[in-house]
Amino acid sequence: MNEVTLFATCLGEEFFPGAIAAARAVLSRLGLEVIVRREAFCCGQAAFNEGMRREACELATRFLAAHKAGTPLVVPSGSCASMIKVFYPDLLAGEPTLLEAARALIPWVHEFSEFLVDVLGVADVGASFPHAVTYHPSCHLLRELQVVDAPRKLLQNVRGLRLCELPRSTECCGFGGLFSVKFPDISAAMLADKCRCIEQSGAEFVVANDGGCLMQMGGGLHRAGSRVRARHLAEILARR
Amino acid sequence: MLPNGPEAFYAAAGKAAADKELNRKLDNASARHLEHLAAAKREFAAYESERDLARRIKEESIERLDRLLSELRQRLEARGVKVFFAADAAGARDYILKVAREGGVKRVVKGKSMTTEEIGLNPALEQAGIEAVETDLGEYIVQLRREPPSHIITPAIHLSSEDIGHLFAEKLGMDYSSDPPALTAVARARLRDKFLNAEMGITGVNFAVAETGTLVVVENEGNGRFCITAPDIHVAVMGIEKVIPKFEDLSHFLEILARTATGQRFTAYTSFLGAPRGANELDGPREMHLVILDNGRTRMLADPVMREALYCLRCGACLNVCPVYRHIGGHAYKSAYPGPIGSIVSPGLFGAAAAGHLPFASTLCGACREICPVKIDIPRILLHLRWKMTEGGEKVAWPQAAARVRTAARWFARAARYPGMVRAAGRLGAVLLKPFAHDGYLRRMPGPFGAWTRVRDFPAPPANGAGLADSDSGFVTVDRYETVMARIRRGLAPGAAQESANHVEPSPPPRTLDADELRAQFIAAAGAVGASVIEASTAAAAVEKIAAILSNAGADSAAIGAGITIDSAAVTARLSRGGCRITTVGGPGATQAALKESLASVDAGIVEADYGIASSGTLVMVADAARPRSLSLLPPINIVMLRAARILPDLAAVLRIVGPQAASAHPIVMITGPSRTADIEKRIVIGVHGPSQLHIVIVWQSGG
Ligand code: SF4
Repeated sequence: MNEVTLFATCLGEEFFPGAIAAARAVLSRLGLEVIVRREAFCCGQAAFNEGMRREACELATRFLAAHKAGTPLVVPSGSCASMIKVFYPDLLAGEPTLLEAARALIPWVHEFSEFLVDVLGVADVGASFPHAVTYHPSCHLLRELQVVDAPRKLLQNVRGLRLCELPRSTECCGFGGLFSVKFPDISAAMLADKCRCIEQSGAEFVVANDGGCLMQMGGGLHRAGSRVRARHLAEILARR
Repeated sequence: MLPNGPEAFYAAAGKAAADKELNRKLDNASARHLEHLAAAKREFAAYESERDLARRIKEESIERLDRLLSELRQRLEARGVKVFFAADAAGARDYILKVAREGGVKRVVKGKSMTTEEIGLNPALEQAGIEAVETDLGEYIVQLRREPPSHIITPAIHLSSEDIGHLFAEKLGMDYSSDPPALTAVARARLRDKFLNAEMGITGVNFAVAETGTLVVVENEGNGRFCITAPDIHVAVMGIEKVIPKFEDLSHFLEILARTATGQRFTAYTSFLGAPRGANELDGPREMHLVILDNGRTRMLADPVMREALYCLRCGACLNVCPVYRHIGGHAYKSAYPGPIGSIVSPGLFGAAAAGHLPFASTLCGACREICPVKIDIPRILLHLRWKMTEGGEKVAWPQAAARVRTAARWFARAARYPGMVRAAGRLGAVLLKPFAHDGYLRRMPGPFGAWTRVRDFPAPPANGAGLADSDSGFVTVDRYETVMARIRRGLAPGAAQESANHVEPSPPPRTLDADELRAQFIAAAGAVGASVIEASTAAAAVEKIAAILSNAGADSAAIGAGITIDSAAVTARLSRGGCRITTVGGPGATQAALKESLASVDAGIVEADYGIASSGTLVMVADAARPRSLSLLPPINIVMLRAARILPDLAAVLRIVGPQAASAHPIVMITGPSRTADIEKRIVIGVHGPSQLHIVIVWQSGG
């Protein structure tokens, strides 16, 4: 059985369809049958993080109806993957049937880079990208899922790619979901730090595995007139 | 300072976030803290397992809170400490004011205590006509500015040394200097007099041990020791959560706290107290009070998710790593407890209307949990509180812009139940926005997204859905013991006694060192914290060394304890020959007045330590009638004799031995290096209120 499900995520569908297509391409090239389920659109993270658990629960219900244990579920976003793996049990604590479905599904859920490196055992996907790239470890990927090395390993094996060190890399970019629009001043101050560090890294591209961070860093760099672009890891790995 | 709703937070946080200078100061201080912490962790192999153990003990303490508190109360009361349970801030304030009034108190010296900030004690004292002097250097600085502390460990972290220089020049009339040692010296000189002429000392409590009835106060400057030694009345204030079961448990907390709070192996001074001054002691308070405060803590206890917040050691590390804190600073939170831990504790203590917005002011990045010594899952608690503030019946009065964002989020979440519909809407939006996009980005967005494009560009949704197409005076001073206990029991009842997921393998005991190795380790560790260590083979040789220390330091007067095992008469005779004026303190017929008098002006105090701790270079002294506490505190030079055979490997070994003495209420102090502070820009300055020089003379030969 070499079937995997790819969860496109709401930000992915709306803003980064290129990244989703790239993730899909990378997985297909490794010989996997990639399925995208159209019945679910959002894991419910934004609502959950805002305390709107009723709404989040509805979305989780739909998500769990669409995605079943038995097929690996690849999530190209650290925070959506944490939502399912770490926070669904909290969200669904009062819903025994859903909780059970979530518990069954969780071992099948993998963040994209972790899936490639730790599950498939692939560090070199045969990509080539002759550019200077730096990597921003998204907070949820790093601290909820403890995925630390996989993205770097993948990038190191991309032909021609020069991996630049990002100063203060583990510091949050300031996105934080609705935080970015509810507390724009604080978010902007954090973003300014991040953009400065990205510029210092000397990279042409900053890579992250999370749509939220990409919107934040990409938007910040663009507003500042920077030439550095924000890209999803999959977009780099899909280049040949 | 109490939080007062989201509007005020928005105004303050917005202003602070734009203050690049503030951010620079906080970043620098934080970087310095993290450096110290990383170094302290590197050399402490057991750090991780100790963290787990500390957490485990806190979990167990909270599950048994009612029993531990009544045990603590009973032990302390049996020794004449007055224990008062306060249900709320007003109860605690009123009690302290009553004690002050009955004791004719005109001036209070205060050690650093966030709990007294929480209850708003200083304004209440001032209103009652009592001068309240903050004596921790950082607190002293912010008090001079008439502002609250902005950090729970480093109150003046938002100020540069230049800021403080200008402040001192203006308020204290000194010549401008931005040199931290010079500024520290001025504060020392100013406060010395206050310490010696205050009727009451007020401090917080870091740990309260139920088993022995011991309060533990941890600090670096020596101001805490002054507050609990010099004035006639000592009032300690603690939250109900500070109690731990056993004296030996302290071995799992003291080192961890020192390391995470300040990156030290051990704080300079750890004081253990459990009774007012003994019948023939010469110093220490005649009257001792302990105020145990609920003020919303039982509400936190009753909530199984919030309960974890009661494990907090108030080490302040989570503030330093928090990117939000480092951009808005402590004052914006308008709470005694800013930063990540504050954002959970403040709604718990002050309610949703005042502080319910704080849990939302976080990106949930998790840096706080990573650094927390007791691994409090702060992001999870923040999420829980956000839920309570949204669906739990507690309401936040969101400003209009934030409220609109929330409404939009709710509608999005509702719409997202119908994937086909949102996708169609998304495609429509993309098509409509396309003409406004430049280079894939939008410069301005309508409605609630306007807040986004105010500060950054918004990625234009690709219009072609690429790639997815197929798939008192009314004082109320009634002891609320019963009320608080009932609340605790009720809070614990649904017990939901969270099964601890935390099974800890104790780390294997380190290899036992022989006496020579212990001595070598002690010397290295004491040297590392700035003490000078000299060895002497015999008592006679030790006396010669002391004479040399005194003459090198240009000291012409010294005080020596009467009860030291090395013949004090011989020491006195030899030193007097060297031209030094020697006073013996604590002998028969000694009085407090004579003690104060003799210590006020001498250059050096000579004492003997009971034990040494090899791993941290710490001296342990059990005070008694012949060895008054002030002897190692007041004189600027402290000379301590330590017999080599009394050097024990680690804190745990010492705690085992001194436990019984703590239980019989002997005041104990642990001294690690000279008095120090890092309150100005986190730069270490040696010599604050306690001695600036610590000389240790290790005597090999036991006996006289
Ligand atoms: S929550 Fe943890 S890190 Fe923060 S102050 Fe408390 S003990 Fe320290």
